[in-house]
Amino acid sequence: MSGVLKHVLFNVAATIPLLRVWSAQPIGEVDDDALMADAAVGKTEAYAALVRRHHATVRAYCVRASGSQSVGDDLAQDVFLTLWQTRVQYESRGRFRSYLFTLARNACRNQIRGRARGPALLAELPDVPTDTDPLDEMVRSERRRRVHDVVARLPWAQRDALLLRYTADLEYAEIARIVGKPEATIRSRVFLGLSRLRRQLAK
Amino acid sequence: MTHRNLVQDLRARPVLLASEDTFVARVLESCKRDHAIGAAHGRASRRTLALTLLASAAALAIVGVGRPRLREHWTARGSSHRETRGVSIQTLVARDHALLPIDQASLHAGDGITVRFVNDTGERRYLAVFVVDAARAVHWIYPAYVDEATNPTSIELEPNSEPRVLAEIVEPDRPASGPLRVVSVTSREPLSVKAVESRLLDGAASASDLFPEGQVQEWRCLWTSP
Repeated sequence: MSGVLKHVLFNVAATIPLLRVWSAQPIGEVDDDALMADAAVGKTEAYAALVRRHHATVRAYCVRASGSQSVGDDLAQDVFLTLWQTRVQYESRGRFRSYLFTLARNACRNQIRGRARGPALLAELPDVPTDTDPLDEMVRSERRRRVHDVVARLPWAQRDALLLRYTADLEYAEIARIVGKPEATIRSRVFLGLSRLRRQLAK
Repeated sequence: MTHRNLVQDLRARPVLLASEDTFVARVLESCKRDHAIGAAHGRASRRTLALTLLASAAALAIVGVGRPRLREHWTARGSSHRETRGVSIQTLVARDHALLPIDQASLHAGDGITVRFVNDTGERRYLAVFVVDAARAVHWIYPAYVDEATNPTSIELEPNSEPRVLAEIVEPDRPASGPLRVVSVTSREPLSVKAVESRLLDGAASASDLFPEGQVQEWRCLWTSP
């Protein structure tokens, strides 16, 4: 390759964000919007990086919201498929996580609406084991099972707010955008949800 | 139980059935299958599929903060799908995985509203969309207006030559039952929510008087939920 050509390619790569992503910046450091822009032009590696980055939170959210590991994983897979299908329409405004969890929330809500009302399925969900004492771990696991069992029985608005805040780990402003309610309303729902949760657990 | 313990328990990750690699592989496989199906059906089908899924997936609720109520006789004028000055706007109902024309439609709770547009002016334009319910209360669709302390402005429409659907599908927050009017205002400069509401409250015989700098369209439908 001639020196001139190398120089031209280097400058092109340095000035066009898409090329810069692949030529210089490690993919782990590329922000979500840039990865979506790459996915929109068909770069599956960029899309795979996005899935790897967010799958654990989305899957945890879907599992907790649906109350089932298998249903939750299927829902999470649908969420990422929908994300892929709408990648061209996505407008990069630095709100990728809000967009992603809007998809996840709607998928879970549709699933909850669609199934017959019945007992919560959360009893089947073990938590991630840790390296601590097995007895402590058992006690902790039982406590978490109870917590999530009670969460599953909370009114939808409070449950929704708690899952988005703590399981999806979103900021109040992001949740407000997703739910379409003022931030103060979301804070109040989280507060009421936690209060009710404490009361139920104390029984 | 302490607050800290409770929050830790809420944050605890459940055991996931499939490993990261397996999950990512499954997602990419489903994307690949979807792409293959879309390619077989041709471009129009692929667009329809994408829009349909978008309709089911991206619904957002809006909240009506400080909704102004309009004078009885206020009216906007326009048609269901008009092309003027190179900007074409069409409002749609997102329902059951499909996008349907809103004009004369009967809407109920769970229905979302979105916009399909073409802006072939070669320049940015700005769009505001709101609905006026039977009680003459205003509900904002675009821009999102969720906090009275803010004053968001109409959203940008980038130049485009192919019809494009906005990603956010908005569900009106319990409008009064009865006739529902959907109004869009397209302008060269952004309009703020409060400026629009102020003009609406001032009242005028027609929308063209209220927004002389913009292009106004109106669609009429019916809200049937209680």
